[in-house]
Amino acid sequence: MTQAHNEREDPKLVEMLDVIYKFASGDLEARGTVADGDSALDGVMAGINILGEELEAYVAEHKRAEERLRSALLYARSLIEVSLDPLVTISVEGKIMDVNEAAVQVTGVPRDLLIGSDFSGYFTEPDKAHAGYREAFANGIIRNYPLTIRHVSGKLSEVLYNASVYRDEKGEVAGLCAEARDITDRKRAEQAEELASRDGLTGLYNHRTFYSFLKDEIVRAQRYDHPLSLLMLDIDHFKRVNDTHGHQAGDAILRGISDLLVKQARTTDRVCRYGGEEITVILPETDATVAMQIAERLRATVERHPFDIGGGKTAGIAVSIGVATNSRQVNSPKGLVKAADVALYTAKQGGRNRICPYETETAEGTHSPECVGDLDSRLRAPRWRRLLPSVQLKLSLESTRASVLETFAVWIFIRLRLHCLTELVHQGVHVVVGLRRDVDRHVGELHRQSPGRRHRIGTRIHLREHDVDGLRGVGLKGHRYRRKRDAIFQLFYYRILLPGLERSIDAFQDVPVDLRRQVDDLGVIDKFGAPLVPPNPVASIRLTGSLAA
Amino acid sequence: MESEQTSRVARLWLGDDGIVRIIHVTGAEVTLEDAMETMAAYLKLNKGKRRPLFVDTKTMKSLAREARKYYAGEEAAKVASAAALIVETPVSRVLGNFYLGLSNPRLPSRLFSSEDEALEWLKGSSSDAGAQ
Repeated sequence: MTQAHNEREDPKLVEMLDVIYKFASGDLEARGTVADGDSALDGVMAGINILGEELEAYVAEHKRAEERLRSALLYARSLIEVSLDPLVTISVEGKIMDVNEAAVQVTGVPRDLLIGSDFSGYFTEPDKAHAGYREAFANGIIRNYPLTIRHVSGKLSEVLYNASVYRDEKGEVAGLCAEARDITDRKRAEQAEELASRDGLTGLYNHRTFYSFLKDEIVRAQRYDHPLSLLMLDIDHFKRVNDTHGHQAGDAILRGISDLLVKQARTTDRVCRYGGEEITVILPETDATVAMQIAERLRATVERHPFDIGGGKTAGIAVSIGVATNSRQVNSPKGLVKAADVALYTAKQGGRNRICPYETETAEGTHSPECVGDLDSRLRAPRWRRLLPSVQLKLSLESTRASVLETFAVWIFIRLRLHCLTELVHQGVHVVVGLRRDVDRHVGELHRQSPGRRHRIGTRIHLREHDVDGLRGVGLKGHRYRRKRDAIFQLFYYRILLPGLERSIDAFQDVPVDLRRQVDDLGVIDKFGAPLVPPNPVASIRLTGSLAA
Repeated sequence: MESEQTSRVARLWLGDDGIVRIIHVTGAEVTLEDAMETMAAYLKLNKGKRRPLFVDTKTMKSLAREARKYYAGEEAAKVASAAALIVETPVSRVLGNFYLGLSNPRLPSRLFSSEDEALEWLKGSSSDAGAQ
């Protein structure tokens, strides 16, 4: 007995009280005795026993529920904390209800201070944060919402927020669970990659990226049998701009035209700086007709636009544009570039400030008859004969006669798989031909004969894209050299040494020569210094001319 | 006798009226095991047929919580159509009322102090069930 009872009371009542006191003290297993008899007190005792059972079961269940709840909370906490990304739950009033350690780290604010504070106060743009919060509540979810978190130290973290509402038992929105993915490093990497893909002067995609884009687009075009066009655009008389207004003005024009083209281009077009004053525009899903329309629009826009060249001055420029569209024959990045370049050359030859489509079917490994033929006829002009080297070989190119330099150029084209001289120049190739041994000898002789005088002792030939004596576009530029150090064989990027020619000029005199042998003897080296061995193609070229002094 | 079965705490038999009687022994303290044994005996008796139950609890001394829940549960409801509980003593009334009040039995159940009334009700509920 735990309590004193009135001795006069019925023992059954005393037992009942005793059981009830035990319940009160936490002993829910206490039970009273129920006799077989019919007394009402037995009925009460039976009822107390049942209530005890129910109470015991209820308390046990309550304890189990508490345990489950505690486990669930620990589980939820571990799930929240296992995330390396900041996690936060926000009430419908916009107050932070819970955060994980990552959220503490990214804000630099202790957990106790974060909880209960306004969530938007930790972003650089609280209004934008609120807008995203409202959107999440309105739609039930929000994905990749960009925000910037400010650490107490001032450090900023670029994040993408993903959030969804959570509901209470009644199904009503109770708050927002939000996770922030830190993309600062990724964004930096993207920026670095973006920077590496851009041309420093113009901001356009650079040469490397251009080819990467073009390759992807060609694969896509082939896969879906869709048209793809390429514009190759060249600023007319750009050298004149540089010479007249200075290189800074030239740079300003390049920047200006780049900006103009980017603005004019469609969203899916890619404007790239190919090199120098050449700009390419990749036109996905664009056939030749539309490409010509776009090219003409760009040309006309450039022509009308006054370009700021600094100092309050403006300059007008014009562009020539070559247009090429993919086809069965032109279905590689280089092929499309070549085709656009041929078209550009044609546009230049046609007088500039114009657009020209690529129309000539060009077989692999041969040069464009139009280009070379045109050049050949120009080279036959008297004024060019005057400029051609004093030492000259005439060759037979099967049915076409050409100068020795052109023959070499043709060989270079074949070797480099080019189509015309324009491409040679675009590859950065300048051929300079001279005869060092002769120069050496002549310099000595000339100095002995006329000491102190400047003598014409040789001719240097450039394949360049400049105006020479009215021959516009790409051509051979020759000029005499006077100093010994000029008299060397050089080819920028691809340096061609001509030991064979140098060694045996006399032997060529009126003697048919298989040029392949000569080409083999050329000792061509590439820009890395490795020998370039011609694969085949000049077997049909025969040297039949003679040296003309 | 196939129409009669026994368990540790009760005797069961099937009357000509199609009602199964369950008469608890004097001073029966029914545990879960007892309840299950009685249910097994009932299943033998009714041979798969759903019948009304006449349960005399007058002499029952206690009914464990688990046993109460078992009788009130799905299993009993599947094999019996209705249950009339005969209560007379204060103890049996308390047990019966707690059974009805707390356990919320699935099969139609009522407390009776009169056996005749109980049988009448069972017959009525049996014919209702038959009519359905």
